[in-house]
Amino acid sequence: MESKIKEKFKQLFDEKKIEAAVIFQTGTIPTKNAPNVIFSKDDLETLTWNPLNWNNLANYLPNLLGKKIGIVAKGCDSRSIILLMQEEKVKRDQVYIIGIPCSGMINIKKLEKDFGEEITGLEFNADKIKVKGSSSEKEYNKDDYLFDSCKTCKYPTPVIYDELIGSEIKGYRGENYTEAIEFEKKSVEERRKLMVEELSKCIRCYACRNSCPSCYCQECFVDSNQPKWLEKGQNIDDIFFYHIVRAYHMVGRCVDCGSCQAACPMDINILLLTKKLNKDVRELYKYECGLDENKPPALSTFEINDYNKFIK
Amino acid sequence: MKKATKSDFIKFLKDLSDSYEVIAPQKIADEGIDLSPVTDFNKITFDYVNTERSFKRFIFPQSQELFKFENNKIVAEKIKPKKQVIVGIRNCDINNFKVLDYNFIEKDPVDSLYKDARDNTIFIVGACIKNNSTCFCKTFKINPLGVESGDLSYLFDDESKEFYIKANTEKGTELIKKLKCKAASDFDEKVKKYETNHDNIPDLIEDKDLVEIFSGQLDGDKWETIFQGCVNCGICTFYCPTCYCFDIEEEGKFWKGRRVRNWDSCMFSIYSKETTGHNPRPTNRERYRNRVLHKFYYQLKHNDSYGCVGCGRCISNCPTNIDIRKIIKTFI
Amino acid sequence: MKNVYIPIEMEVEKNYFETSDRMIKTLKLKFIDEKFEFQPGQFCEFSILGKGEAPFGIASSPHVKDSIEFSINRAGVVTKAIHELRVGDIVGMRGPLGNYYPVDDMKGHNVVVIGGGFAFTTLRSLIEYMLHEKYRADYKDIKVIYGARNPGLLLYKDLLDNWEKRDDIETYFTIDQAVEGWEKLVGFVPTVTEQVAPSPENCYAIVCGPPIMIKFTLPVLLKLGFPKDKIITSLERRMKCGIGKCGRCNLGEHYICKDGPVFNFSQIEKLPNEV
Repeated sequence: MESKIKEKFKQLFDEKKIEAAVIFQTGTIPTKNAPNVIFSKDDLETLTWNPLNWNNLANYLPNLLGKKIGIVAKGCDSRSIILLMQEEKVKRDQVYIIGIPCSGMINIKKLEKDFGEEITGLEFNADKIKVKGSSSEKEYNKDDYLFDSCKTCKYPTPVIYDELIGSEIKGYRGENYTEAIEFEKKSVEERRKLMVEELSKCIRCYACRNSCPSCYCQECFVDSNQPKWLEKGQNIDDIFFYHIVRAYHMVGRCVDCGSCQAACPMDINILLLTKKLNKDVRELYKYECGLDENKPPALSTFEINDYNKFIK
Repeated sequence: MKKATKSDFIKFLKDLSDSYEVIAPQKIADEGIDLSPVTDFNKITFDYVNTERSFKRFIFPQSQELFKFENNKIVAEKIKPKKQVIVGIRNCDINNFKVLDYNFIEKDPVDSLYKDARDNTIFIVGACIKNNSTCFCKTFKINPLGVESGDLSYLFDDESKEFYIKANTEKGTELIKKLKCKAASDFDEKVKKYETNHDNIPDLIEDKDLVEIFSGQLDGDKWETIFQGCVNCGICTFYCPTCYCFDIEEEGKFWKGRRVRNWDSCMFSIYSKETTGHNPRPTNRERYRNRVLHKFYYQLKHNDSYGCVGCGRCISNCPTNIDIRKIIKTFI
Repeated sequence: MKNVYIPIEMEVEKNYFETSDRMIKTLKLKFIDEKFEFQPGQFCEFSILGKGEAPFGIASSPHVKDSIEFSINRAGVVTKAIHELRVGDIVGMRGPLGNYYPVDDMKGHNVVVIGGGFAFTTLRSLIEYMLHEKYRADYKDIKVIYGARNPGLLLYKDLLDNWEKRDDIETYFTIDQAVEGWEKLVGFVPTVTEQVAPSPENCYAIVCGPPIMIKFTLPVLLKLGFPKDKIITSLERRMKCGIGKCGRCNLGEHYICKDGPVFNFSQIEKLPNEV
């Protein structure tokens, strides 16, 4: 797999079809890979492909507007690319997409906690993970440690690509927003309590925002001071405001890749909000984002025969 | 120098809680082991390499009130600083004082908010008997077994399951009197026993002069590639025990409100953006360079100390695996 | 111990529009209880409770003891609130902050002051300082080159007229494009500087203005033979605390608020290019 990707990119660099490539490189610690933008084929050497590649690489594209880019894309990355194309942050002829059908990424933090000591070595075999520490060694089932979004991923095979490496993987066909359904069943008080519990952990590092390909605003509303929307301290109401408004800005724009949550150092269940809104979009607008670049995003269009009365 | 069992030591901390707020390492739901004010002394644990976050936030809180105002008048009120004991600090983390004290106390004018908090806190440092692969404290000549730092320091001897405790300051000498247990004389011996545990911690800089090295590389190609993966979140700066940048913000309106300072991060684009829209550090490249140079060049020029203690938190928490060790190696 | 973030109170004594575009207002503020003295080139953190604080260079002469003046461009939240102030309003002030023009080193030297647009505030303070009867003899020839886009945007017009009448200061006032009724110079500041061609001999050049003006004036001065350490400027950065604690205003290892805002070009040259 890795050698095939490398070969393709090498060829693209040589033929001057790309100026840069967005890839994963082997990390400096066993539990991490490094998403990176490279400008030379020499940097392909450390290219890697394994279940630690949770970052959504489309995140790097808006900054590279105007350049010819090669990118490796999982299902979710490819949906984000479509979203960015719809929003004119990426042009189709600007990117060469190597699609990789994805069997899911693992939640390494959860694994490390269960393992109980620092992980010093990882080995991935088909559906097993072999974990090494300084004093012990254990084997785990990969399926037990997949990110929740990966477990219920409907589109593990990229929906847009120039070349697909690997064979197609069938997506999850069940209900992918069960957590949102559970959430809806709760009373307002219970929901608030749950949210306070989660969000009071927030340290406002904005890793969720900055890891999200859909969050590319030149000036985020939290940074604006004319007008100033919210305070920047540790008051729970302000933290609420940030997370809820961010989630609202994601309506019809979230591909459920889970990179916001994976990036969060405080393990906040950020996806609770976006999943609920994704489900609403699915029900209210019969829309799933990042599937068809020719279709306008859910909230930026209306039709004359729209079933919503307010629009008439 | 004294020798205490775990229950002696916990009892000692519990007694202190009459006059101090005790902050100690505890298992926090999903987050692993972190420092937190103690409500149940049974929950204190010493089984960790380092706490998830450093103790910085207890003397320099993420959000801190500077003063209150009402009807366009400043409400003069002397906030009495909380008396607190922080236990379980690692030697790398407490070396952040070289940076924080310089900025807030030694450099005129004195920041009274910081100084009050620092003066009213008792620091109890625990020697490391294990380390993580991301530890690189020795790079900055910090001894992981450092039992000379803090008001009190201890070493937990795995074998005898006993805490060897010693006082390093006047405050500590007063305090250790309250610890009811045996005296110990074999402290140094115990420390020696664990020295080899840390042979794997690298010294990345050795005797190289970073001021000289960086002064010739303030610009150049090396800066063009290292920041590319960075997404400009604030994790590295918020987890860093030495980062002290803050923003001053107004909360409320003139008839009732307060002025606060909040942690800020040089990785945020808004950090240096001026009202005119001009930003002297417009891209990742300048922002990341500023962070690196601040830690390994500017601070050295100022007060002859590194802006890094080698705790490794920025490495283990970075979502894109930007590794400060790799950056250092790139330049030296 | 004193909380260094608490401002002292000052009262608005006068406020009026300084420029014809009504974007710049000059405020004269009276000390109430606590007082401070300052040097030309220093700045203050001007505070409006509920809105925030912002740094501004002091525009008045250090010899005026019971009040200070600022000329403030309306741009952000705080400056908007400052423009809305009325006579008698109480504001907060922290200062004086930062270093100042090297008025002691400049003694016995000729001085050429080069300013552009509304960055003329601390330069006014400096010129007034040097022109004061107590100090005028300390300095040799004083030349002032000052330009703005149009006559209406020149600050302190009464004062400029006054200087023109004096014989112990040479003035060159210029606007970018000719307009009817303007009888002084026309042309950009760097070009005028080239024409005036001040001698670098035993001379300090103090340059303050928009970055683009500085960028083109610097080569002119170097060509004329000014040594880099005698070309002085005052830098700006986004600042918060003003006392070297909050970290954001650094340019290289210097905090502009504490080690600056006044620097000479041989200092600036050694720093990363982040102005």
